[in-house]
Amino acid sequence: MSYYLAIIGTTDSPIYECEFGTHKQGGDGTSKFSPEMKELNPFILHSSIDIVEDIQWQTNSMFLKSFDEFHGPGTGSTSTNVNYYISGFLTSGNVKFLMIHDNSVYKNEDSIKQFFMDLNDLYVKTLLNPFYKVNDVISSSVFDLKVKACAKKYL
Amino acid sequence: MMDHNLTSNNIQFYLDSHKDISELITQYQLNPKKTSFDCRSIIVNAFSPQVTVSCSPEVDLIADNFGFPSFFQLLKPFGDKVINQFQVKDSQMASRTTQDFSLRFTRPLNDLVSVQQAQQQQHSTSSSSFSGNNNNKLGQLFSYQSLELLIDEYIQSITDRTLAEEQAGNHQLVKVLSDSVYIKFFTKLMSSSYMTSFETMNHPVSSFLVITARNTLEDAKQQLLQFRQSSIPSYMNIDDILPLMIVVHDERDTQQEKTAYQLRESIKSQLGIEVFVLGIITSLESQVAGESRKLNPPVLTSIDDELQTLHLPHADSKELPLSNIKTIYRLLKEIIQKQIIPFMERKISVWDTEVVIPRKSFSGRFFSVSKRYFGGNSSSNGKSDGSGNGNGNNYDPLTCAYPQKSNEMIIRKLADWSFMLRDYRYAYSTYELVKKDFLSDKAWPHLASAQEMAAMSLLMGATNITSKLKKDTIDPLLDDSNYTYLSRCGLKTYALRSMIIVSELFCNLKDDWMSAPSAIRWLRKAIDDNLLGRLGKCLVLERIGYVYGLYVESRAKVIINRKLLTATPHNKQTETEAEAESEETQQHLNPHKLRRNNMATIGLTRHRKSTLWKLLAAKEWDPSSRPLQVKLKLNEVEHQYKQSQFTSREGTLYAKLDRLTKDRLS
Repeated sequence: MSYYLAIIGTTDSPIYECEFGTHKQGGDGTSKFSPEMKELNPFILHSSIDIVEDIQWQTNSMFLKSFDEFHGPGTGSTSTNVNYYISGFLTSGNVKFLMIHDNSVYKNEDSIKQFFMDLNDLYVKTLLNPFYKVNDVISSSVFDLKVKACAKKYL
Repeated sequence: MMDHNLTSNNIQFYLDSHKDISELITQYQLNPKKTSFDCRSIIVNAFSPQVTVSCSPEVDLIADNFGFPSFFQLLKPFGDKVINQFQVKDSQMASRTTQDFSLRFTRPLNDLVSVQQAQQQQHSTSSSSFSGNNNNKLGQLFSYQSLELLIDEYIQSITDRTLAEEQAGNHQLVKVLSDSVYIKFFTKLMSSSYMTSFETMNHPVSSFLVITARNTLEDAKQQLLQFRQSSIPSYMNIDDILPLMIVVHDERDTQQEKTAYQLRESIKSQLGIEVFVLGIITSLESQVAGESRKLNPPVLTSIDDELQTLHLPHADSKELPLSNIKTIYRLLKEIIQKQIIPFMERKISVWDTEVVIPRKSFSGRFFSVSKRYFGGNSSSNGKSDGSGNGNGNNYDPLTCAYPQKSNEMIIRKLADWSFMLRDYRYAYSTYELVKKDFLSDKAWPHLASAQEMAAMSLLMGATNITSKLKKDTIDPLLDDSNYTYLSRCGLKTYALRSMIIVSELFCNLKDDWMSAPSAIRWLRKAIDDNLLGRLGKCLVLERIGYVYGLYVESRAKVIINRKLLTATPHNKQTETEAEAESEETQQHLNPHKLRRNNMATIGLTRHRKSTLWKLLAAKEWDPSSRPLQVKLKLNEVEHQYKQSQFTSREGTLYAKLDRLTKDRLS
């Protein structure tokens, strides 16, 4: 399992991006996206904003599970295409957490949801910082470390 | 007269011959769905009656005078669209008017059959390793290599012009040029005249036998005999092809005219077929007198034919005197209205009373059910040619064909002909009727084709469909049809054609918000099932981008259009002033309030999706081999990605493609 996470600001540009792999099932925590997918990932998430904006009015929950998918080049040596899924979390400030993962969410829906909850906590703590303004890029290395710790814990 | 037929298929020809194409460009400007409408009219043209043309050597000499290799090549451009008010009666005997009609002219019947057999033999020897499945008996619609080659040639031929126009900043024309590639691809998918046992669209409806006034009655008799004795496949019926004789004479030679009319009378009385007289200017010398005009290149030439003529030196210098063009159009109008349409209507009503009505009646249903369940003797099946295989059905699984006079073949033909006459509702009910027979006979290619056509006639007949109809009827029909084409018959080209047609037809429907997802679904399926060549894949990716661009809620469409209107230059200044004002008031309220400028249309468009697919298409075009195509796509995505900083970062796909194309093009 590989994940690509982006926090999208209200002007549609990412303010934080991160790529990681699973630590479960003997994974070493590094992502295994193919080079083609690596360069596509930001664009795929950007296109998913369309769907978030559409469905955000139809649901009460902040967590949006596998609301979009992308059929793209697979990992490893096999060149067959595989399905990628995109899950998201909409914060109350209309900042979006979007994540691409190469497995349907039904297997680890809860853990992704938990991860997003913790990420929301981290994000709100960042917002509380008087020196941080909305839509600024989050460059704090502490934040990065904490996100990765969360990922290790849940994903 | 021909100026009404502006299609982007011939854009290159128009530009070469300095034709005024401003009308075409404004159409593109005004209507974002113009290309889809074009595709629909191509579909109508492509499913129009096929007409074989066989001529005496003297007639070919006349064609040769004007630089055409044969008279059929001369006629071909005329068939693309004959504009007139044609009266067509539908199955309820109600009269309708159509604004135009098309005929697809092809080679003489004998040539068609023999060429096809040769192709088939070649095909079956080359794929003999796959013998065992019966798929190699069914020929494909076209060959992938030829299609790719043709598209490649076309792109190369417009590259220089597109580049020049792009640098000159002539964006509208560039748009038309780049769209024309997809239109070309679409047209070539449709323009195969390959005859198969499972669809009768390509079976000729009529046959023109052309002679000159110099020919004798004996020659005419010979031609008719030759036509009657053509060796056609067992699934075709020569009685369903209407022979028509055309006598050509020189317009200025009154003596010839007289003999032509005499010949007409004697042929009519002795051979009993309809004869038309065509008086045209027959040689180039007399052309000086009248104005002459270049003919539009025919749109629906098959891929192989077009590849052959592509590099002929005199391919583009064919001119006909204006009076000839008018006369030929007049003749075609007369033939269509007086002969071809009535002939088809007559046949349809005969088949309807003989085959369809008995089947729909109570006893007919009872018979067909009893036949199915109690198996039994094919003797009860009076109409069969005796080639039934003893299971009570007429289907011959070895040749994958029904005999020509079997009920199934006739019903299928009936449906196809009503489709050609644009009676889509009746065509749909007929396809549905015959579908069950094909299923119980396990006639897979027939079944797939009937399902495809049933869905197509539904979509062609409607301007809007309910989601229930789509979910319960159209989707299952198409799913089944595609599954059968691909898994049971191995007919990739047919499956591809049906997917592309269906997605264009969905785009033609009124409610984009409802139909765009289906259109996208079928295009994506074509890519995911690996049905496309390399260039085809690029084009379809582009097309997905285009359909996502259409994917707009109707409310949002109104708002966007209003915004476009107010954004015209003279309003701009007032707008900025107004904006500045509103900014001031907002600053009073809350300096930290976040602003959004698309509040009204939020979530009701798919522009970002559209950009993603255009970017994917750009990547697929490959900057090192086709930098111009990549550049055109990048231009389209620029306005969306320009706002966000992440796109221009080092190492992202967009930045990489941008740099590579700039390197290549400079």
